Amino acid sequence: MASGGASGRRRFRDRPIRQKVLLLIALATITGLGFTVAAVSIYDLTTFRRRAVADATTLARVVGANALAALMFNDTSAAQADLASLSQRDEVGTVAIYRADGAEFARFTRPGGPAPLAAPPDSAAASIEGDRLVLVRPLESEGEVVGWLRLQYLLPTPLERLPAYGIIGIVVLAALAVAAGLLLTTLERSVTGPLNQLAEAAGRLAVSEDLAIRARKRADDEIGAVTDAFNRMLDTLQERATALRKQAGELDESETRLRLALAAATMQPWSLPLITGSDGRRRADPEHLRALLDPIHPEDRAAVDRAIADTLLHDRALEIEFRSGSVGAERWQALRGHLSPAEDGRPPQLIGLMQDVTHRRKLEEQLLQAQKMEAIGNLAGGIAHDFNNLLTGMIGHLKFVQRALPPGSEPRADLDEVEHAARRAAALTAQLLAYARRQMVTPSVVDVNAAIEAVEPMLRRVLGETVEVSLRLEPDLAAVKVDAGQLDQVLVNLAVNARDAMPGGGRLTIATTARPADDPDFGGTEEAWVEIAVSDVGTGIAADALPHIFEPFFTTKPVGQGTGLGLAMCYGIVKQAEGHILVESTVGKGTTVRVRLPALPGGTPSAHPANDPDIEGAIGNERVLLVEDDDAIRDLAARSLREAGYQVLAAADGGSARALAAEDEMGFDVLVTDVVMPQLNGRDLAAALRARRPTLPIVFMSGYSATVDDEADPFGTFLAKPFTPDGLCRAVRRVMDRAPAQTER
Amino acid sequence: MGLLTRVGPFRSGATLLAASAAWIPAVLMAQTPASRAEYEVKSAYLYSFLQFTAWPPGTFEPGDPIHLCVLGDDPMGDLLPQVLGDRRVEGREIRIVPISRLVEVDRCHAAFIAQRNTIPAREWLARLGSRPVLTIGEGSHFTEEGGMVALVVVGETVRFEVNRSALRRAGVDLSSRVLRLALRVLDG
Repeated sequence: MASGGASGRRRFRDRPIRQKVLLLIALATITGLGFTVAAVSIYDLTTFRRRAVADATTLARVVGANALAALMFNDTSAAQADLASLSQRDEVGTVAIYRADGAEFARFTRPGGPAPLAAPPDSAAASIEGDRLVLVRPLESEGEVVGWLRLQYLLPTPLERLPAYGIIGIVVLAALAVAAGLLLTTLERSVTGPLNQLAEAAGRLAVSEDLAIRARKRADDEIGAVTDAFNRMLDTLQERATALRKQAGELDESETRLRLALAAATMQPWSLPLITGSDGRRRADPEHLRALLDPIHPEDRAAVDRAIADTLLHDRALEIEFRSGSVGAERWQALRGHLSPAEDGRPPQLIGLMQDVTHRRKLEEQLLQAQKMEAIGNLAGGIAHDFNNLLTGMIGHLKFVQRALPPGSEPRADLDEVEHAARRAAALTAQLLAYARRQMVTPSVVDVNAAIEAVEPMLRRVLGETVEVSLRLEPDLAAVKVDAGQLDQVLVNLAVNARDAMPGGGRLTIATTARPADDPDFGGTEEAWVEIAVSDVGTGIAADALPHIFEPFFTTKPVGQGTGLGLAMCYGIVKQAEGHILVESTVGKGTTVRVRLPALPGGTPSAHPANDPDIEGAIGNERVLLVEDDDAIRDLAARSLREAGYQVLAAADGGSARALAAEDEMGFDVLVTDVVMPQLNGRDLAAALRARRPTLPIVFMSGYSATVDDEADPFGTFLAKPFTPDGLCRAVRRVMDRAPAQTER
Repeated sequence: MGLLTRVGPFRSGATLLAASAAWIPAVLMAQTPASRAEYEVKSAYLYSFLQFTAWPPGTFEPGDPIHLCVLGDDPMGDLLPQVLGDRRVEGREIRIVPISRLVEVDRCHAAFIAQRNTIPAREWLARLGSRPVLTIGEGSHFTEEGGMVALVVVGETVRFEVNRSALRRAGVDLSSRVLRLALRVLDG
């Protein structure tokens, strides 16, 4: 019963409403029937006797009225016949009529009925004896009792009376059944139907999740209210879903944007959960910390660990940079973050961003390197300047002594050796100056390919027979602006380095390439570039040596083989031409040096300028204003010029030169001046004099480089120290010949 | 009839004890025909017929007595007054009126005509014509001659015959309860 009955017999409240109502109707019907039966029974029981007496009395009155005449006319047979007609009424038992004196006049006895009546009556009476009612009535005429009627009335038992009530019961049942049917139909139409529809709509909603579903409202009753509420709920849900979808979309978009932005900034978020130790201090969760530290360069791990501990201890911002990645491909990462306290149930954590700062670090290193190079350059340039002056004096005076000595004499030969050494010293000084970008340069528009082809024969001589030279020149290259001679120097220097890296021979490749703007290799600039790549297949340069190779006097070559100035000079020259130079090298595989020079927009390369032809007979008789603060050089220059026939006005500084010029009323023909002088320097002096005579020819002498564009100053030229007497005279002659004739003279 | 003896305290004990119908048969058996007993029964019947008779409307004024006439010879003698006593019908006094002459019949409401009579029943009936008078006679001849109710002796009991045509002609109505007791009903 417990097992089968529990599931089989559903509880009333779980049954469908239709069944509930049916059950209730059945219950009400049964109850109603019960009450009806009870009411009828009570009515029957309480009124039966009264009704029976009334019935019997009525019957007795009718029978008596009929019997009265028969009694008065003494007609027994008529009375007997009258009574016999009562046999049709089952409830009538024995009836008897008596004369007034008690003698029986007539009688009717039902066959098998009750016993005959006993003693004659003497008064009216009604009494119930068992299942029968005995009624005694006087028969009266004109107020006189003329006889008696005694009627025995059989009372039907309740069971016998039941059939009469059965019909009532059937009628009541039928009426209830009709009422139940009507009720159920109404219920179906107005309650269970709408409810089922509502339930079905809810079911569909659960399956399809289509929030556009609405239940149809059928009436304004409670179910209608529920339907309205259901639909309103769906409205709200739909609005909320729409808003949620929109928010989710916005969130997605925002997240995507943030992710892209972080990726673009090479940033990635990180977080480190914190735990509270037994000593009450917060520390990073060891497992997460290990995961964070693992990719870090072993040498930097301790520092990062310490920084994190410090951050937690002092509650300050975390900022540290460290290396990660494999050896040789290390990346610099910057880790920034701060302590985020516990919030909304989230445990406290260190949270922040990690950014790849390798590029910045590289730039910083490059800047540092550049600053170092600049400092070295300044130092070297300063020394070289003074050296140049000294060498100029030495070589100049050597020349005078040599002239005074007969050729072939022993002292002359010794002096030649001195001069040779002095010239080597001058070459070294020039290289130092080139590195320090103090070399006097004369930039011109140059076709790089043509320059390379022109220098190739010399390169072959320098490289020897064991090294093969191959050129891969990209046609239609843009021109660059560079000092053509310096470009040759760079090429020769790089070729020599390559040769030295390939003692057993090999191949040297010189390639030119047009590089677009925004070339990522050079950090993306707005310019287009022309690249010259000089590659060898030699021994290569060790990684730890690479950062230093452009430093002057840094060399990997055996002592005596190199000065350590070759690449430094190249660096200076390229930088002076506003270009870049970088070295890529793999030990055992070879080295590639890339030189990039800014491409001239639409610039047409000029022919590789030929060396100035020696000006024959660089002599003249014009008046020269010579300004030089170095006494030795001033004397040397004055003597050289005078020996060439020029008249020389010499001044030791800019101020006295200007006074001299004024005194001479600008009568001189050419200005030869040092550039670097105390107080009024060469350039300012030149500007002052040019103000009075714009076409004044000027020769600038300098140990430092100073870019003078021949095109910008058609009447000026530079003479690099140290110079020879002949070099000075040729320079003077050149500017003189270019200048228009002096009308004043 | 008399019907009674001890019923009702209002009844006077002075009335004829023998009037009770209960012993009529015994009387009839014990007496000779046309004996005193027979007329005692007939007297009681006269009173009974009055109770079941309805006269035409307008016959009586309120308080008017019913005139029961005895036409011609009176065989009942003092029996009739004894039986009637001071009984009434529907509240009306019953006044016994002896009639000896034909012309006197006008006042009658009911009339008893004895069989043995100086003036034959036929003449009395002719004199009454269609007057609304209940006529009661003796012997079957009476109804055949136009009388309304004829008292006949059958064996030891007194019965009666009715002439409905005569009743209709006179406008007198005899209750159907009485009609159905008649031995014979002449009609048409």
